Amino acid sequence: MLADLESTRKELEKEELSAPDGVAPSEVYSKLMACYLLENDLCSAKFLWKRAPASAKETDGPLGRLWSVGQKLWTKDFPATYSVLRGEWPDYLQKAVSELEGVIRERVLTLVSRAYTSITLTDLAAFAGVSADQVAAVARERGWSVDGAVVGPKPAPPVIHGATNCEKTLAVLTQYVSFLEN
Amino acid sequence: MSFPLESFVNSVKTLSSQGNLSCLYEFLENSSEMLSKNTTHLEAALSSLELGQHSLGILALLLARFKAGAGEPATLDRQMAEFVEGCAVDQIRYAPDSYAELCHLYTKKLLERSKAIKGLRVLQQAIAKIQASPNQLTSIHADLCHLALSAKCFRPALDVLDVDIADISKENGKFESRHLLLYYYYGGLIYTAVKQFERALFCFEIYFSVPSLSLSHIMVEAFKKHILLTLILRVEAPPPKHCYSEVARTTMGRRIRPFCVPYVELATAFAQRSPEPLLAVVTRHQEQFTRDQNTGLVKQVVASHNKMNIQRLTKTFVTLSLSDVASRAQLPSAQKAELHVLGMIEEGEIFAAIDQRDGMVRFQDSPEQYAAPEMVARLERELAQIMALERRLQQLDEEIQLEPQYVQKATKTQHEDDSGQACSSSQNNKVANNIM
Repeated sequence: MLADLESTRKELEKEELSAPDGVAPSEVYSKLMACYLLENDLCSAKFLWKRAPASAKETDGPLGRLWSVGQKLWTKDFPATYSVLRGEWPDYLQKAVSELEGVIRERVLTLVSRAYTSITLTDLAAFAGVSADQVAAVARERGWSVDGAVVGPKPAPPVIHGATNCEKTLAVLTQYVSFLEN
Repeated sequence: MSFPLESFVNSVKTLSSQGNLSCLYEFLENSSEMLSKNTTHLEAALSSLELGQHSLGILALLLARFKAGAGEPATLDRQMAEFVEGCAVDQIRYAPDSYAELCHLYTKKLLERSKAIKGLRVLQQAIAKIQASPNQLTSIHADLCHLALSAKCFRPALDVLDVDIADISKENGKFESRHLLLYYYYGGLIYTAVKQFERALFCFEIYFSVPSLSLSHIMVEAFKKHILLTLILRVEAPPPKHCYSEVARTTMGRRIRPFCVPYVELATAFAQRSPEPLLAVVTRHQEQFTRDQNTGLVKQVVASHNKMNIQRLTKTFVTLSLSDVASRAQLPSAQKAELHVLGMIEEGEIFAAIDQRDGMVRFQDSPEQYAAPEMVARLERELAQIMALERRLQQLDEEIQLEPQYVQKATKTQHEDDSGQACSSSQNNKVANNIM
């Protein structure tokens, strides 16, 4: 499902709009909600929840639980996010949910590496959704120094970019300069 | 089928097969009264016409049906969808006003039944068919945005809103300023909902770019939202002088301000450092904000005030303890301060590093070197947009210079100038001669 996220999302949106009498099967709504969460598009997820028909919003149904994940992400309540994600899910959502957990963890840990020069192990465990004994291993994996109860995150090394076509760049630059001179 | 309708159908078939479409359009305008009297037989008339060849005739019949309000909603929806999908573009271009009116009535019916989401694809297709170019504005655009807001499904409307408008379809004289204002107002609301605040601000600036003799409610509401958005984005209020006429901006501002007193007070309170005056204004005018349905935006303004205070600190300090941040930005605790700072780092609003060991925050300069490929790509994109805009302006300039009215006026003033100079030079000669 993750392989072609954008095209899957477009397909699902089209399905929602072409549904007879404006009501699509509840699976469409749950899959679309999962797509929005994978793309970190919390605004669209919120409005999807608002416009979904009552038939798709059964108590404790997959759509409701996915939306509670979205709510927790909005308020940055990461421990609660992970606990909801670890519940039972129907088959068609299983793969998406496990991808979602990995994607959220990756995002949070990147943020931590950007924002913190040192962070306590307990806080890091809460952000990453792992238990206290595993968190040190997670930190070491990323090359962060572990010093007693405190961890020193390092920002990820900058990505080296490939070479660009010189002639094409020159042509484009000449265009700009001639435009600016006129 | 009654006799007038039979003759109507026959006329439609003959005129369409002859290709005499402007005649057909006039005939249809004249028959609208007859059609409204025979609403019960319209169904039969519809079935005897073919969509591809007689699109104009079917358009008139559908319009009469929608106006009468008769018929089952599901059938009407299906007929509308089929019509929009299958109609012949060259035929309907003769009757853009009827086409637009049909879409307006269709939107109204959907909104009454709260089934707005069904109309989104139909209207998107309808717009694509009648537009002469993707940058042309029609009155159906406002309907699409209205439906999107009612259905809370913004993707189809955003696809249309993201294209810049360069032209307006006159629709045989029936396009009103109301349609333009509504399109930008609803568009602004949609952008605010998906948190694209800069585009929303651009949309709400219509209140001073549309010349008018009197104020409209739409302009007043747009002004209120505009104030709130400038506070949320923490940018300077109206745009630079060379964009819009200075006079227009100040006069509009002066006329609208008396209607938006709470918002102007909010803006003045926002400029102060302490959050107390701001919160006082919010509680005092709570009712007005709720009536205008702006409470969500007002809460975001309060949050933005906190962020502004934290940003002020980056200008003065290099390192600061979290408890100091909390006290200077007037936040309740160091924990809250840490969460706020983390949120701002994520959004890219400040550059800082939190050190939990000492409980300090180190403020940094922006690490942007403007040398990465992403920056180059962004520069290329924006330059391409500007070059396209410049080409378009040159085109418009050429079109105006070739316009006969402009040429007439320009040569007339030139002749006046020339003859004036000739008169004055001849007078000078006379005087000089007299002296001599």
